[in-house]
Amino acid sequence: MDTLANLVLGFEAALSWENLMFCLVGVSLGTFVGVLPGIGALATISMCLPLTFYLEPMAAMIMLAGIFYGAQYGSSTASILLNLPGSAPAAITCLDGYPMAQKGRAGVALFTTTIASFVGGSFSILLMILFAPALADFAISFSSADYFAIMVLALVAASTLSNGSFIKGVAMVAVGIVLGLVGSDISSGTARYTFGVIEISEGISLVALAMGLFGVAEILMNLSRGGYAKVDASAITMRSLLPTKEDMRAFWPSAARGSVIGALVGMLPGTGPTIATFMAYSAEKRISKNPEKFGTGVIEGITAPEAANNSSVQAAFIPTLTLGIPGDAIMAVMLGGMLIHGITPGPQLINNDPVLFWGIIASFWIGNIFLLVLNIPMIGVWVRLLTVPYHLLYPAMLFFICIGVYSVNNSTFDVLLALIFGIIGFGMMKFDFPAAPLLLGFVLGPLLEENFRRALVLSRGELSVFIDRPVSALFLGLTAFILLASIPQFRRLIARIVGIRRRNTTINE
Amino acid sequence: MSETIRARLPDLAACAFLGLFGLIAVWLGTQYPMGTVNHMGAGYFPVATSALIVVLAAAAAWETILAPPQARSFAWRPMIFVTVAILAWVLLVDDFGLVPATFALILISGLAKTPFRPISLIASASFLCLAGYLVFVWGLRMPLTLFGR
Repeated sequence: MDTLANLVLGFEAALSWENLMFCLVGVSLGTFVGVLPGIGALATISMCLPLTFYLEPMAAMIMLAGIFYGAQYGSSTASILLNLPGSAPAAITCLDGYPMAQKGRAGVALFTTTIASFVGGSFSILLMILFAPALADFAISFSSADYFAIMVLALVAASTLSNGSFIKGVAMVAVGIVLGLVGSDISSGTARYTFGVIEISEGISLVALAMGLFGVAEILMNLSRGGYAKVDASAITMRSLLPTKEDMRAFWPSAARGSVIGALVGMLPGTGPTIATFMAYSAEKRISKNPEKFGTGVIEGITAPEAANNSSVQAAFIPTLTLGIPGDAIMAVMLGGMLIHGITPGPQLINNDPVLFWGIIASFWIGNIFLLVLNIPMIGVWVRLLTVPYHLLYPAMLFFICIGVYSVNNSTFDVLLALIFGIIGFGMMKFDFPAAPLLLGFVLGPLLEENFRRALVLSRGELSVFIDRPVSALFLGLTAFILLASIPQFRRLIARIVGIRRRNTTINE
Repeated sequence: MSETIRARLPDLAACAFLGLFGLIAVWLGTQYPMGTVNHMGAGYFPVATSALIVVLAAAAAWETILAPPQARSFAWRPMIFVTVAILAWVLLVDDFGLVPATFALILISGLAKTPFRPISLIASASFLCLAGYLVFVWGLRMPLTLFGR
């Protein structure tokens, strides 16, 4: 079998000492920042991106990806112990995780979420191994119009499916696209929006933008909220980790359901782990025999979302690696990182550079095993991390942001840019303008323009090219549906039609 | 000014700021060659996207007026000290070196959160200088000096 041979190739590459080490560094760092509230995977990945310039492309990607999924493992810790999510997707874990901790079952909660994360991650990795090659084969026939349509769907879905106003979300996508166009135009060489500033003549630095919007802004937000409380770490002992038989009986089915939901949501463009965890939780509540117990510390309420969280995170690599289209802001930064390293993700990657492609996938599984065997004995250590006071943490984070941004081009101008974007990002958070769609728009903007132009050159200006091709028509149709569904009147109409049908069926019965 | 607008003034100002950004981007975009649909110039896509921003800013303002007003509190202290701290790092690092820049960054940013704890901040700054030197200057050979040139 071709896939199997390639997979062996991938494991050989991923098991080199250097790659193993960077995988370990990545997942440990990821867990570290995942545990700490107020610093997310996105800020950390952008902080480490300049550091990886000195590494081999494969080691760099292994480490950055490790930070991403490692952070998902860690993020449930603060949810359970402090009722404060380490990152947005872990917010739902607070609902049942914190009540469990209050009942003295924090150890069990931490242990089962780790196992659930492993189950979810492994499921999606398996899915990726089975389906990524087929998807890439199919995607080779995609035209510019198809790519344009998929990107439009990703951008619209990212801005509507997140919380808050859909108008503000789409507006932020558009702002991101304009910021992404800064620099010289690829096809004509015209300098756009540069104001004659040399430092941005090749575009705004992705690291400066991401660090500003997600690093500096987050710190400002936490400071204006007043930091967070401390925890008592002494209660978490090895013995307290062990789940009971009833716990394990509830564990497997809910973790399995969470994995499936996470994988499906994660593969779609524009949806992130946050949506996956919310969907897994509500599905679990709906099928439960006693839904009224949710929110009081039931184990299904933490295992399903945690499995979905990690499953969606791994599945998100499927469109990024096979199509070159990132699904959310973190994937957008990963894509930016790959481009900097000279890797062009897309359908050709799997054939042109099989060692890299399969090596990265193999490293995911190695990383998940690292997380499993390291995290269970180290839960006590990670918990103690939460005792680091915020007044020492945020100045240190500011230091790493400054030196990290500076190191990309050895330019203080980029640090200033990060500061400006930080202040803008803080204002955006204050007025409920979401930052993640902006970053996605920033990365996709130039690709969107290029494919739009190319599609219309090939069709000699005929706009119908976007609906003549089946793939493009399908994705634009989905986009139109999402847009319509975000209008309340339309949603009410659908609800009424569905309601009528449901009433009819009950009469027939 | 009616009560409807006054209660939502900060939110409407944010929408206005967004609209202004869009308008400037449209205006700048029209200075680039536009081209035609089957052969787009450098200005086509930016103008279209920026025009969308202007429309959406107006829609967001309309949405704000329809929704109940939101209470917006604003803490200036963190913003001022974090801004000054980063500016100090930017101004000091090239000419005076990593150590003075980092001490300034840590101590000034420490003022953003009360109470101010100088001793633990100095300890933290010393540790970060050492770590920063080992990782970035010694490890990654970044052209930074410790105390200027």
